[in-house]
Parts: sequence; C-alpha cells; structure tokens
Amino acid sequence: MMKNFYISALAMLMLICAPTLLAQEDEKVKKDLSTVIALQNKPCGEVVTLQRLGENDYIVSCRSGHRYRVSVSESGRVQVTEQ
Amino acid sequence: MAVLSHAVAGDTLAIEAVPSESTPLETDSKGSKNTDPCRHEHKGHAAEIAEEEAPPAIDFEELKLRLRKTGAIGFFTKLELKGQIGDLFDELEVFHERESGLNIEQLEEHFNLLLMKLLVLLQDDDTSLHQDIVLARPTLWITLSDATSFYALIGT
Repeated sequence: MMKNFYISALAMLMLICAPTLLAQEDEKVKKDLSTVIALQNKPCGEVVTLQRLGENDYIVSCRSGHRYRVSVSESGRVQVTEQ
Repeated sequence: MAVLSHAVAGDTLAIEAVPSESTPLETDSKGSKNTDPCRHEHKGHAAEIAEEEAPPAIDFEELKLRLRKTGAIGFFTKLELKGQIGDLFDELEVFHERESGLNIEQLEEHFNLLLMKLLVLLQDDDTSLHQDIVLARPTLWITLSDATSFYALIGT
C-alpha cells in the first residue's frame, strides 16, 4: 500500500518538475548559443527561440531579428550561418 | 617552466606541461639568441631579478581539466574557443617558423583578447578558475612567445 503511494508521489513529482528542468536546460542552451554567435562577431543580442534540428544543430532566432543556423562542422568547428 | 595544457569540449589540443631550459632573458621575443656582449655581462643579475619576479608556479594540467569540466561555459562556446585558440597557435607557429605574418605585439593582442573572452565567461560562474587563469596568464604568454618553449609545447 505504502509502496504504491510512494510510486504515485514520485510520478507526480516528475510530472511537476520535468517541464521546469527542461526549461532550465533550454535556457542554458540559449545562453550558450548567444555566446557563440557573439564570439563569431555576428549581431544577435540574445537568442529568443530555438529549434533543434539534430545533435548540436540548431536554428535560432535572435532579439535583433536575425536568424542563424548553429552547427558543428566535420572538422569540429562551430558554424554560424545566417538564414 | 610549465605550459598550459588546453583542452575543451572533450577534445585535446595538446598543450602539455613541458620543461623548458631557456628563460625569457636568454632569447628575445622572436626566439633568437641574444648576442649582445653587454647584455651577457648583466645576465647573471638580470636572471636573479627575473627569478625574484617570476610568476608563481601553476599546475596547468589541473587548469586544463577544470576548463574542460567547468559548467560556466557551454558546449558550443567551448568548441568555439578551442577553434580560436587553435587559430592563435597557427599564427604563433607561422611567426616562430618564418618570422613573418603577424608581429609579436599583434599576437600578444590576440592572446590577450582571447583570454579576456574566456575570463568574462568564467567570472560569474567559476570565480576560482577565473582567478587561477588570471594568475597563469603571464607564464602562459612567456611560454607561447618563446620559440623553444612553444615548440616543446606543440611537440615538434
């Protein structure tokens, strides 16, 4: 009986926390992408939305209105391409 | 003298801790031997001063690991910085090999700019690593700007 209670409580906790954790992870990625765009001297301000295309491959929209694709090339360099 | 070992984004750019027998006073900024007899006369005294003013010993291997593991810098940023450090090393290699391309002042400016970017990224979220890199900066530049220690660093 108690076991079922704990399982239900854990499931509830996960349901409540999951969106928060995902949002935090999203913010981290946005910050990382904003920084890398700035390091390549491209105008952005900050990343406001992002769309994941694949592993280490994103389309981002910046506060400045610019859109970029940020990915990693075969040689291991970060590529920031304006869309 | 030890040299900073650089590794970011889980990859290594092979900057290993290496011994260097030369001091900055034995070679000029382009790595050529000093042949000025007047300077030789004062070399002993100058070397003593340099030893007194030498920056503290830094565990560069530890710094490398901490840079790799720090949560203050994201994956893409680490990868970009790794690329920019690689570019700086290419420029330094051209300088030391052919003594053409950028001059030592321009290279030092690139080095300082790159380090500043790194420090800005660390200053809020990893203050301890930030402080240690600030302390390591003089030793690192001395190593990079000296041809002998630079080649020892890149393993050629």
